[in-house]
Amino acid sequence: MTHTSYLMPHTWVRRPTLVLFLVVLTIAVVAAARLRSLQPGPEQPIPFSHRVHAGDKEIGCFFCHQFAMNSSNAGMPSVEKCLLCHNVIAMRFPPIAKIHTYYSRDEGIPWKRVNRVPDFVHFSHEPHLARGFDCGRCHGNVREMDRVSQANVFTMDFCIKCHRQNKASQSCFVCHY
Amino acid sequence: MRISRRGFLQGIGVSFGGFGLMTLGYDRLVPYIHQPDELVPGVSTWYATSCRECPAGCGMVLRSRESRVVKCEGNPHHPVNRGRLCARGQAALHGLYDPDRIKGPLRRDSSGEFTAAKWDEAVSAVGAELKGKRIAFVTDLQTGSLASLTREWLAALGSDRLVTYEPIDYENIKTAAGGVVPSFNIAAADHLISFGADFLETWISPVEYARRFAEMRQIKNGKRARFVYVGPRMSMTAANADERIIVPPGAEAQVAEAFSPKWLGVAYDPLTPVAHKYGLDKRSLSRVSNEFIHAKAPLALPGGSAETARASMALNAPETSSEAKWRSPTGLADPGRPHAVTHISSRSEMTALTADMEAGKIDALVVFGANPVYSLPQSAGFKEALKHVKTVVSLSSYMDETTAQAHWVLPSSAPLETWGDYSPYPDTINLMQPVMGQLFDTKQTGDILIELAKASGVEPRSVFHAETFYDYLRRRWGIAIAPGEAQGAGSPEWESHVQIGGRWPGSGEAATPTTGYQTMGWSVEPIPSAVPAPPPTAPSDMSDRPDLSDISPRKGDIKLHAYPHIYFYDGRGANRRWLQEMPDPIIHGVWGTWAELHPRTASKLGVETNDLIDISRRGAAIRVPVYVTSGVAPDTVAVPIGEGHEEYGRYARGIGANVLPLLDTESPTVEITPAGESKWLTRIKGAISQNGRNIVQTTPLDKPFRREEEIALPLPAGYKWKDFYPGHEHAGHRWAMAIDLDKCIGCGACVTACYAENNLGVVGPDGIYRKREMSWIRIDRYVDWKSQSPILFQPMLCQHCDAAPCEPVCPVYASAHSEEGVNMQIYNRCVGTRYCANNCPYKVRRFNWFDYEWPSPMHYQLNPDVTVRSRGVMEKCTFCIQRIREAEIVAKHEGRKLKDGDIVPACAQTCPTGVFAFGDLMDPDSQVSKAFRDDPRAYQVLAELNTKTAVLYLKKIVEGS
Repeated sequence: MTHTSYLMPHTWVRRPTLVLFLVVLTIAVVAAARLRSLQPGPEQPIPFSHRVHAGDKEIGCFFCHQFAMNSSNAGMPSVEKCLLCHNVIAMRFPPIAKIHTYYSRDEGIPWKRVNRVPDFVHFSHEPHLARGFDCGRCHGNVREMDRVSQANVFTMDFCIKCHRQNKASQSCFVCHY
Repeated sequence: MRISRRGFLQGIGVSFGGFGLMTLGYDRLVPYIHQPDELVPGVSTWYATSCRECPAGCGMVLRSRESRVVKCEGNPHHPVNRGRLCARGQAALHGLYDPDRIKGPLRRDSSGEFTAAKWDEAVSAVGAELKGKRIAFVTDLQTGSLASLTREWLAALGSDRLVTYEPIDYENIKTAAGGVVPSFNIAAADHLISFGADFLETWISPVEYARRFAEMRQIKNGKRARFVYVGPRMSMTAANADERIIVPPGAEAQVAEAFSPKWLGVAYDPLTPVAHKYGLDKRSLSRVSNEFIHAKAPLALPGGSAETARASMALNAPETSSEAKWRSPTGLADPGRPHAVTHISSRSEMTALTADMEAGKIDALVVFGANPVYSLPQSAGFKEALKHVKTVVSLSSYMDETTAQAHWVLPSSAPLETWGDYSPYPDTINLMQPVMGQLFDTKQTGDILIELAKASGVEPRSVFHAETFYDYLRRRWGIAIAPGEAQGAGSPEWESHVQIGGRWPGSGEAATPTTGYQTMGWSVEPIPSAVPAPPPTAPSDMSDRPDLSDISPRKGDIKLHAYPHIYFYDGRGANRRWLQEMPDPIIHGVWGTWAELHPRTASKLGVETNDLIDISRRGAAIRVPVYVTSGVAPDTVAVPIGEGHEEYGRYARGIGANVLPLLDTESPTVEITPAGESKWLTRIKGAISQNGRNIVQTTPLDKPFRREEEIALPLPAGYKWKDFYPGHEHAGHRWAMAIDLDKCIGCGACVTACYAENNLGVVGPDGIYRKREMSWIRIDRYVDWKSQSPILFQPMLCQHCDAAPCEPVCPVYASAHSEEGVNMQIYNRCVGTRYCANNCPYKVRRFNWFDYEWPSPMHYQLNPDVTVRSRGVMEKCTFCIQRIREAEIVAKHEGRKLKDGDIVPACAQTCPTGVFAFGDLMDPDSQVSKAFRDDPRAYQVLAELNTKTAVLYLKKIVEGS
């Protein structure tokens, strides 16, 4: 008996179908990640439009995302905050009536998160805004987005390019700890 | 192309998986309904409260992130602990987040099992059962409002049977010091002898005493206060002594007696028989005795047996005082400022209660905080007596041994969830506030009592003048503690008390602390008045010589020395897994109990380390593995208290053995029989000997300190001809640390703080056995019985070498040097080759063999600023980079440069003795720069490897060479 089996290609190499599927899958996943940034963002529980609020009505970002200047988290507006205006404005409009429903049931609105960085990245809004960057630098022109989507894929490439341009620290420990 | 059936199915599966990936991937982002005013997501809020892990009553501040507390730290203003905490204090979070906490009221049904109940029905049923009954109340040590409410509650229900039960009751000291437990001013002593008092571990107020001990040990004018330990074993406290006199348990009394100045000028030397009897060196004994008697400010700490405490307290008062009050000559033991442990009930009260329960004279027993079924000796018969009580109500938060016997469980909230106050000293009153919302369906103890009173027909308004415990507390503070202050809602005085964490001299008020509440008609615990101790008389004849017959062990008899363990205290710490995983400072044992035996005794019994022995006395027996050590007195078996729970929770149950049932007297004689089998005692696997490598260096006290080797600076300037690679350029900062080994007492508070701060995994006994512990900082201890300092402690953490051996071996640059000098471990790059750990000479790198678990609600404790590492990733100390980043961002925000002291890593923050200094080596005025430049005791560990460590050690100062 000859021991030649180790010279044979491994079984999966001989399976063109599987290889094909894997290739297609990889392309699909990468494309999905890219496409997500180009397409309108996820459908939200309430069709909140940044175009209307930030664009047409020119409400400043920090009115709702009030902690961005002082914290790592920009913060999401409390349900109460929506009602600051919508107790008066367009109360009957069905999506806004939905806010009232959430409020009266003492429930938070389960927004879908659009922008995120992985757990091993510690990003803070505060130093970036303190340096004078506009929110749109990373988040795109939300004033024109009805449904907010991720304007930039937050890969390390995206972060490091900007850090390099602005002579910010590129040490790993600035973000990864 | 032909597609097989198998290939088709695989393809379908993969495609569906792909679709799944595309559609998922959006987390939910749920906002608040109402934005809380004081809360900024991503920014910490700190709340002051009191630590209730032991009777010491340290002030605590808790770091809260998004309404969840994630870290305990000492309250920097608090007079007891000045910002420091011990390991148990750090682990208070695990009391709050204990996954085995009782989640709601329970009743015992007809089948004998617990079933869930509703608060309304439970309270009304228990209230009805208590009405008109003979009630007894057993509680752990409470002072202040809760104690006062409990007394009023009992009185309203027609009873006065309140037993404040603590297994460690300090009755020996109370008896010896005229009814009170004095406060001991260790810092002012110039000669300290501890007679079995482990004041750096568990005794009365360990954090406070550790801090004062460090103060006392500072060198003043080339001299420093001496510390001698007399006791049955090499405890951690003993390891910090200049000299140890190891005698069998109980024999400390004879040593104390023999040290008394009353023998001066008497033609009898009591030291000779003592030295002869216990095989001690007569000359060193008389030297210690002489030094103590002639010291300017001698202080003897009374530990051990009642007899020892009496004899050692007598040393504090050698002159017969004509004053009515007993007072030590130097005022170092101050009975005028008694510690709260004074209020612990005497043992006889518990005995009487047990007898009454047995006799059916108690209809209902309410237990809160205490666990007498676990901690009373078997011969006390408490568990059996409990069966004669018709209604047993437990207010405990945990299913401990006593609660498991109850008929009703009305779970209290954890101390961190409650309002309250606790007063360690009469002039210091800690205020407790809930640091987060209720985790489970529990209520504050005071509220449960008020509701029970209501249910048994008492009108709370007329009795307590309050409907809730919070109102009661506010009212009591307004009348008793801070009279004259506006106590209305939102009053600035009250707010400031809550903010500061209480009231004590200098806590912010101009008014002096009042003791007026004793006359205000409030039921407050009376401070026992000090009665004069019997004046020691000079012996007129030889009849007063120490009696050596009573304690002398008969041939073959072995005395049991059970000591409260530094991490479990009386057993209450056993279900905190950080504490289980903490290596014992001396034995390095974890997750278990052991019996320390002297080599001679062990060979007499024919056992070795890891052999199991049965220790028995009057029907009670435990089986524990042996640890053979010269640190324990011959014919003595030393066993730590705290393990061996049958209930309590997943981390305590079935671990180790409970020695308390054997202890019906102090240090009783026990039978020891080898069990004939072995069980590997779970210990971390550090080296015992330094093997001549001079890792912990010492320097003699009487010689001038001298730097023997040049320090290889972890800066470009530190690179010389022998370096192959050039140094790193640093951007602005080069972080470094200095560790003063002379101050380190080995308590391990830093280790627990690191676990809490950095989300370290807990691996369990099996993991430890496989050397997989995750601690980023550990306390190494080296043993050399021939040396005068036989045990040396050394905190060992990543040395952040400038020429780090771990860095060049990493194939993926996961281990790299940061621009601020910190040796980084980048988790997302790490592929887990473990080459770095292999190449690290300090063995400080830890590998995640698994994804470690945080059973709910423990995951609430995770620090959101630190990544939770996953399986297959190397990790190690980061110098608390998250704190460095935070400080940098804050400084930038405030438009200033970082100052020395802005950044305090978790280990340095909690250290009771201030061992660590952290700072910037590029700032010439920082504390670490000065240490690197000037300190004559400075050295680097394994300097011959030329790693240029950024952690500098200062040599321990020892007597002799």
